[in-house]
Amino acid sequence: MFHNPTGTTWMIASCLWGVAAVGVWSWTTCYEFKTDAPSATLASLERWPSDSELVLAGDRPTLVFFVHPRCPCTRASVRQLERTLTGAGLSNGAQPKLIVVATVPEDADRAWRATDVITRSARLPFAEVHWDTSGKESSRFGATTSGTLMLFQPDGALCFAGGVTSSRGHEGDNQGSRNLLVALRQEQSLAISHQPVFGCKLCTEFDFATCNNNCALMPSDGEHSTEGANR
Amino acid sequence: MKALIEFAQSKFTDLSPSVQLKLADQFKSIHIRTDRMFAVLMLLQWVGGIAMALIVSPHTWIGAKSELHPHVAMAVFGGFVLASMPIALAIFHPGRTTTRMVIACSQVMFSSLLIHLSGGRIETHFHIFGSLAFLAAYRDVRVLAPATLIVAVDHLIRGVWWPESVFGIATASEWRWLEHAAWVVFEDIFLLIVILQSQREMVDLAQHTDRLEQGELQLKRAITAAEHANRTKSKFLANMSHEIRTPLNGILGFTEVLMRDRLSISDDESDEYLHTIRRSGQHLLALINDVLDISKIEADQLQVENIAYSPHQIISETISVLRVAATEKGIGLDYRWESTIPSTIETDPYRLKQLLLNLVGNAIKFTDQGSVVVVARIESAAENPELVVEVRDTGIGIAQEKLDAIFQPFVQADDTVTRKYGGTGLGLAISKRIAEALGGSLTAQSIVGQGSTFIVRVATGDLTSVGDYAPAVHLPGGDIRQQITPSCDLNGLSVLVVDDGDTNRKLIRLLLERNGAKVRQAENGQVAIDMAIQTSFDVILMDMQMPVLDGYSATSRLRDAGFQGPIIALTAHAMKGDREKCERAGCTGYLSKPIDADELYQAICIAITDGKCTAETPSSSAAVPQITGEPIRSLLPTSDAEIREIVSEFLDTFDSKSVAMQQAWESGDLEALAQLAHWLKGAAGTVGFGCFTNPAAELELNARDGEVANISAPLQEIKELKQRLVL
Repeated sequence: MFHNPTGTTWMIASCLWGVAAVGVWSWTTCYEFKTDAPSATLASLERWPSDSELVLAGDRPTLVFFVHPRCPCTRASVRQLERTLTGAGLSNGAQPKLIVVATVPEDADRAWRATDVITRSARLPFAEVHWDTSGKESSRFGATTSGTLMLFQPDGALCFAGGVTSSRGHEGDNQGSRNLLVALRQEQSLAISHQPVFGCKLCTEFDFATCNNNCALMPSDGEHSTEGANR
Repeated sequence: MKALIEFAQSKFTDLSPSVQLKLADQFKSIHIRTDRMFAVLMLLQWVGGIAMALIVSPHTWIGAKSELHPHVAMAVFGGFVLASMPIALAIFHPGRTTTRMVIACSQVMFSSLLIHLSGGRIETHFHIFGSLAFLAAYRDVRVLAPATLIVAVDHLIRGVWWPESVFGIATASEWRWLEHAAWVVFEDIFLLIVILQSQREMVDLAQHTDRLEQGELQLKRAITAAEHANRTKSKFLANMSHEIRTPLNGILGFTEVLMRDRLSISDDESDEYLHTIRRSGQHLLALINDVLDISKIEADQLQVENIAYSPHQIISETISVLRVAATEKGIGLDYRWESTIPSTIETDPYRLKQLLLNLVGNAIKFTDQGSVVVVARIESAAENPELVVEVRDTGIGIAQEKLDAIFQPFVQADDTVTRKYGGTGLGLAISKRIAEALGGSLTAQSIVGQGSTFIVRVATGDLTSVGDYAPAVHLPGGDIRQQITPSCDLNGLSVLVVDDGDTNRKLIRLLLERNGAKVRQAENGQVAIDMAIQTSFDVILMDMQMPVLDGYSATSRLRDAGFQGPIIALTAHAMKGDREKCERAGCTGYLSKPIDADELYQAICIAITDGKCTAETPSSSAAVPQITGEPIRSLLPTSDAEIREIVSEFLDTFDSKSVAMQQAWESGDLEALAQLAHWLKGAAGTVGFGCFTNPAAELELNARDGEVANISAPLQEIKELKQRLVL
């Protein structure tokens, strides 16, 4: 190819290269904004699921943060949430109870539990980590993508659902985090805000269809952690 | 800024080609070097992107299952796409506009890729600004354009479809992308200024380097020319040495024969020997005149006069002079006119004749068989009429490639020419300069083996009021001098000889009285005026440099006083301007010292007949160099008692003057020394001791110029020569 090509050949090759480069740009950009459709459960969710084993706070809003501990894109969600909760000047009363629902497979080892996503999430104000083996809790809330946040009022009403990043793994000011902040401050009455979520698929292998009625009553094999709850 | 933009747009077209070439080379070098740096950078960015993807996001998860993260694939394949073409171009097509444009595009798209791989970290955005700054290393403002454009388009597209990704809000203004692009342009402006400043400095440096190189080149050429001139002069000196020795040998040899065998040789033999000596002396004189001429020409001191003179006479005299030489070689020599002949043309007859003598003499020298023909005509079709003289010979001819060289000083067509035919190589150079000084040209045409034609063109001045000359039909070949010259009779002519040199006065008196003139003498200009007022003289011979009142002033006063007769200047100066200076003072003739009897008679004859006659007189008394150690005798016929007395008086005077000269030198009185040298220069030559003329002239010049270091040599030479003087 390079055996003494002419200037015209190089020009044509450069043009073709330009097309390929635009293709690379399109590939990366499209991937950056690619999202999965929210589950039907999440789309129809309006209140705190009655079968949830998680505890709704009575004195403040409860923010449920569904994460995949090993999702690289969720780091951005954690940092963005950190910025929202700590950098936006929320009053103590407006600070929500944060439940980090970390979905893990049944055979999850330490590599699943000691990740930077979990560590950093646990340090958020009023945070507690709930290990959601096989994604039972996540499934109850209809969360399927790591980075999904849901804000419930003390009366169990859902006022926010979705992500707080503008694109995949991309930090920065965005509509999702702004809507979450407005909901936390309760500055105005909002309809339920649904924002796109960018992250890996959660470990939601629990199949409610195959579970007997005792499933909801069975003690959770997950465990609650108070790590970082008191900051 | 406007000036900078204009400067950028000018594309350096107002620079000299050599500077443009240097700049082009320099830019090429910079572009290639920067291409290579970017190629390395591309490679590093590719590897860095892969490393970043592997570290930050090696896997993506679908529940408990992991897969290779698309970022890794993007880093590997996307990075490869972006880096491959620039690297290939930098290796195989470096320094081209296409290459740096592709590199510029790729570099900005790499920024996009790296920003993506880093999760949109704000820090990674600085890659764009760094890249733009690095692109400025090309010193080509054009590379900033595609990079800036890509950033603008990227933000425009994102602003339309994914505003949050760049603006953080979903409802940003549709023009906000311009704000982002403007910041990039903001940096571009500074880079543009830096690039243009750098370009200007490169131009300055290239111009400076160019000037240095041109200077170096000129210096080398000058050195080469000087070395060539040195070689040529050395060759010339060798030729001159040969040329001088040949007549000298003749002079000294025959003189020796005459001195040794004076009693045993017949009168005929004696005459023949004397003629040979005379011819050799004349040849030597001509040679020296040539050298002096070329020296003057090279010093731009060639001056020509412009007087009305018969062109026919010039040509015919030339032919007459050289007829003997042609006859001796057994070749024909003739001339003819191919147009009407103006009775006179405005030119310098002396120089024109010198020119023709050179050309015709050359033609005879290089022609062994056949003839030399001089063809003359007047060409008046042009605005300024010209006399065209063609000297045609059937000689050896000159190779075409040597035709230009033969007109350069000290150059002959071939070294073998010098060996075979002799000559200094000055004749044609002098002739060409003379032709140009006369308002014309000298060119040559030649075919080797068939002959040459030298074409002289000289300006004639306005011919509209000049009548035609009708040559006598019976003139054979043109020796008009022999035909029309009447004998010059000085019988009864009243002549006043004005000269502060006693010897000069006496000798001139003797020469004139021998031809029947009545001579009176004056030792300075004032005495001459007093005498001229009281007595009527037919001719006054006026030395121009005298005490009390010099010849110039005396002549002017005589003219003011109404003296109408001819005044002939006598001067020891040989420079051309002297003649004009004398004429301005009022002189009608001019003779240079030492006085040649021939010239003396001829000058007086011309003066008293209003230029209508010449005189034929005995042999001249040319100065002849002497063999070292040999006694030096006067060239005058000292067997004549009166002449012997004059020479004797000179020798006596010389003794006292010599002592005075030594005293002046020792006391540092350069003015007195110059005056004594001036006396010796004129007086010695006049009494036949021409060997003193040159050292005396040199001594005078150095004494007047205060060149103390150069005085002892001519003074010593004069002393040595004096010791050898015999009566």
